[in-house]
Amino acid sequence: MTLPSLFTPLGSFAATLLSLLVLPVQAEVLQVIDQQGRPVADAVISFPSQSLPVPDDYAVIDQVDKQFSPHVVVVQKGQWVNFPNSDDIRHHVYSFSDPKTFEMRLFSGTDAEPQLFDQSGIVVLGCNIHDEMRGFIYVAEQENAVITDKEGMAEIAVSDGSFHVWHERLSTSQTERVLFGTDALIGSNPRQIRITLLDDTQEEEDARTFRSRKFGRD
Amino acid sequence: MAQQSLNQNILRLVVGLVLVTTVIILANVWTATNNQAQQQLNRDLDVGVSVLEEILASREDQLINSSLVLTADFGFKQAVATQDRATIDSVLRNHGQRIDADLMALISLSGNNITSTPMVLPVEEPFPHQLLIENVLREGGASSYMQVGSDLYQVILLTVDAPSPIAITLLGFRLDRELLTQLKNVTQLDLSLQTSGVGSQSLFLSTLPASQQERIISSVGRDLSWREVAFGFSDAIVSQEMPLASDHDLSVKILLTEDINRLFNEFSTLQANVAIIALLSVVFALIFAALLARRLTRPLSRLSAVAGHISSGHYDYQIEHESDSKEFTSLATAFRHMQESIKAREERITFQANHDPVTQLYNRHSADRVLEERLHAGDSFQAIGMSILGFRNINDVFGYQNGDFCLREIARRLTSLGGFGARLTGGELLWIPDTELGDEALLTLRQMLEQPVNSGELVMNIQVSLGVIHCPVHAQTAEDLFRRMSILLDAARIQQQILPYDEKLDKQYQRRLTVITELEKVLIENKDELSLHYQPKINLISGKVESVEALLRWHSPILGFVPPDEFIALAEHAGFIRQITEWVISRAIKDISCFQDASVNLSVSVNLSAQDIINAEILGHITHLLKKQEIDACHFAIEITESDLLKDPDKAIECLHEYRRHGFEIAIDDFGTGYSSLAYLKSLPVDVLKIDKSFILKLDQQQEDQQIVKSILGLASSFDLKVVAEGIETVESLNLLHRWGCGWGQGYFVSRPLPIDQLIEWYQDNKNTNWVE
Repeated sequence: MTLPSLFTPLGSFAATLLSLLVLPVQAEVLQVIDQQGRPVADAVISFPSQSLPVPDDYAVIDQVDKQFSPHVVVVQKGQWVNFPNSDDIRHHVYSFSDPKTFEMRLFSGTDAEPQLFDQSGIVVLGCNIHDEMRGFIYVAEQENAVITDKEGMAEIAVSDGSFHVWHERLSTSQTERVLFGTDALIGSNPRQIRITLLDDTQEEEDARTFRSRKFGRD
Repeated sequence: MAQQSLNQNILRLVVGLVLVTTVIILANVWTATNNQAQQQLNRDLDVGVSVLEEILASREDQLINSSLVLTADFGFKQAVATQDRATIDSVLRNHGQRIDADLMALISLSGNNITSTPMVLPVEEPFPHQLLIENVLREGGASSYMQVGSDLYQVILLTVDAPSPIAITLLGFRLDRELLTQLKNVTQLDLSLQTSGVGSQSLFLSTLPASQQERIISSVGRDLSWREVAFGFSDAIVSQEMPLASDHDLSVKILLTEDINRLFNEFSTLQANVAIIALLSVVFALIFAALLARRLTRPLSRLSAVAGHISSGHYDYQIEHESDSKEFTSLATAFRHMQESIKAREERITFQANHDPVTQLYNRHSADRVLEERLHAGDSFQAIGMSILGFRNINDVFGYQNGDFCLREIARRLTSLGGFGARLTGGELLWIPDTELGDEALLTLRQMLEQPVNSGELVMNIQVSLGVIHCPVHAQTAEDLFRRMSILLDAARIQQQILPYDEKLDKQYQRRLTVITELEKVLIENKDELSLHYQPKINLISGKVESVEALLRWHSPILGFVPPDEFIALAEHAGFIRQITEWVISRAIKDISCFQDASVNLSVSVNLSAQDIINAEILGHITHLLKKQEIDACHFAIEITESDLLKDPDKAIECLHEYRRHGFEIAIDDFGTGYSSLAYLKSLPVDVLKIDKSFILKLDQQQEDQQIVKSILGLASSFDLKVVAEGIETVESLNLLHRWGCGWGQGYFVSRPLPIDQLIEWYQDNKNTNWVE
């Protein structure tokens, strides 16, 4: 808690310095599209960056209508996350992801202890009671990461070199990131990143999947 | 076309109909049951497939549910996430036991085996069916079949989501023969399981012996040919293939096999029953048809027998009609009527055949039969023949109607006396009285019959002559009787009296018959028996012989000398006088030639009948022969009797003119016996009168004859005719005639008729005799 706040002025300075010394780094809107050219929401674009100060404030992942809200959260390594429960039912949130393994029971109207995410990587959140609940925490380390909006747009300072893109449907394990070079940016205004997504097991009406088919039978 | 009996036809028809019907029914039943069996077979197999699908689906559901329970278990997720092998194994084993699964496994998302229980999938080795893994990752789960070694499993694979997939679980039930047996109990079909795929050995499991694999496979989707259905199945199974969903390179099939015989046996029984029924109905039809045919044909054959009786002339057959069918009864009635009318008609015909239509008496034909029978039976009776005198005249004068009436009346009178009456011919009747009549009774009979017949218009007087023959004394056969009766009646007619039979009559008749027979024979075969004799005629003026009369002589070796009067008359009746005439002419002309050769200068006169004169051919014959022999007509003369000439004088005279034109001298023979009128004498183209010898024979003693002869001579002289006197037997007669100026004389006093050689000799001897000195 204290350490990030300490480094913050220095970090800002260094950043300012960098932007002055190396080429001026300008913020730019990028769009993520899938193989069909459709905008991809809730994707995370991350460019390597000087270690950013860990924000003091707690990230929040609420439980609203048996869903994690928001669905995807970017936190910096070492940041705390609060899990309030806005539903009037219980939840049993857990994660078996490598960066953070935990489980905790969330009772209605009761605040639970915040969780510290001190390992970078992708944490997949689930609820043991409600299987359809799924959420993701992108724990960033020395990188500038932004989440695309519904139009697949996100504004980020683009630097030459390489950058990562993550999306839950990029891999079966949902934790894989894809590394791009800036030459992979195509088009202009906004420049686009094309990623290849797996078939959606949830979004696409659930009808064609084995599970939903079999569930439907019950 | 060969005819067949009604029996056969009916049998054939009825049995044929039944047979055709039966065959159609049989064929229908056979086809229907076979179709039914085929459908049943297909239905059974389809039902089997459905049932199997349902069972397998339910097993799948069970697997899925179990898998879901397992993968939702937080502890299991935790164990997997933490890669706690020991815990994972225990969970899998425990869960597997709960649901009685045969295979449990965990596989990494990268497709490597993590663990399995039983331990059939090698750890860290790639899962055998990577395609399945891909499906699972894409779809979240998969249901499939999998072969491990020689075991086949129905498997469910699901991802373990925590909450994103971290591994894949696999649950499987084994499909083995035991399961197939259970399924067989449900489906009632034999089941086989067949797998094939790349990299795994083929598997074949069956509730049937595994040795029949080939047979089962080849029976898949087999169509039953009618030949098999009819004559038994070469392979009595039919199978249907049921592919099981397989998402990868393993192909799994279940074969459902039905035993056809089991199915068809039920229908076979039905078919056999129907066949038996059909056979029975054919047999019944046969019996029925036979009975029907018999019933139909029996009255027919009976009637046919009756017809046979009728055709053979028996009309008394009792025609029964016990048939209950209307047609036969009416046929029988018709037969009866036919029989009766034939009988009546035949009776009528027989009557007509046996009876004379006019008198209703028996005709001669039937009388012949009746009399023959009576004579044959040794019956003795009196036969009375009666001849209506001049019956022909009655017909001519009063007409046939009255003639018939007359006959009928006589017949009626006879019939009223009883006995047996028959009409022989024309006006001749035969009557056989029941009792023999004496002379008195015969007279009475004659009187009764001669009663005038009153026809209403006119009264006819009739005369009857009777002939009486006693049988069998005078006639042993009917033929004899008729012949003798005919002779007797001829005689009785002439004598116009009641004449009993006399054998003389018969002898005369017999002689006539013999004469005719012999004469006929002579004319055909042996004319040597005939000869011409010549009697010289002397010229009473010159006293010399100048001509001769040719006289026919017949010396028969059987009959001896037959007088020419007798046989000429018979020949005239018998109709061969012409042959005789021709013979006489030929011979006479030949003899003339002989006379001339012998320097005997005589003319020959030949007797011709009026018939000969009328016949122009005779004249032609004469002229022809004379011309041939180069004889002058003056050497040939003809004589014709006065009575003969008078029968048809006009015609005869005309023809005689013809003879005269040819230069033949014509003499009237037997002049003085024929009542010829002077008028006729005047018109007759004759040159000579020959005074009948009856006037000459005793001329010297009979005054009357002398007067007649003198008259004739006077007559002849006034008509300028020559006169020949025949029958001069004495010199006195000769002298008388000479004195009265008769031109010629002929007679025994001069010479009897002589054969030609004797005549020539006589002529030579008397060449210089003057007969009138």
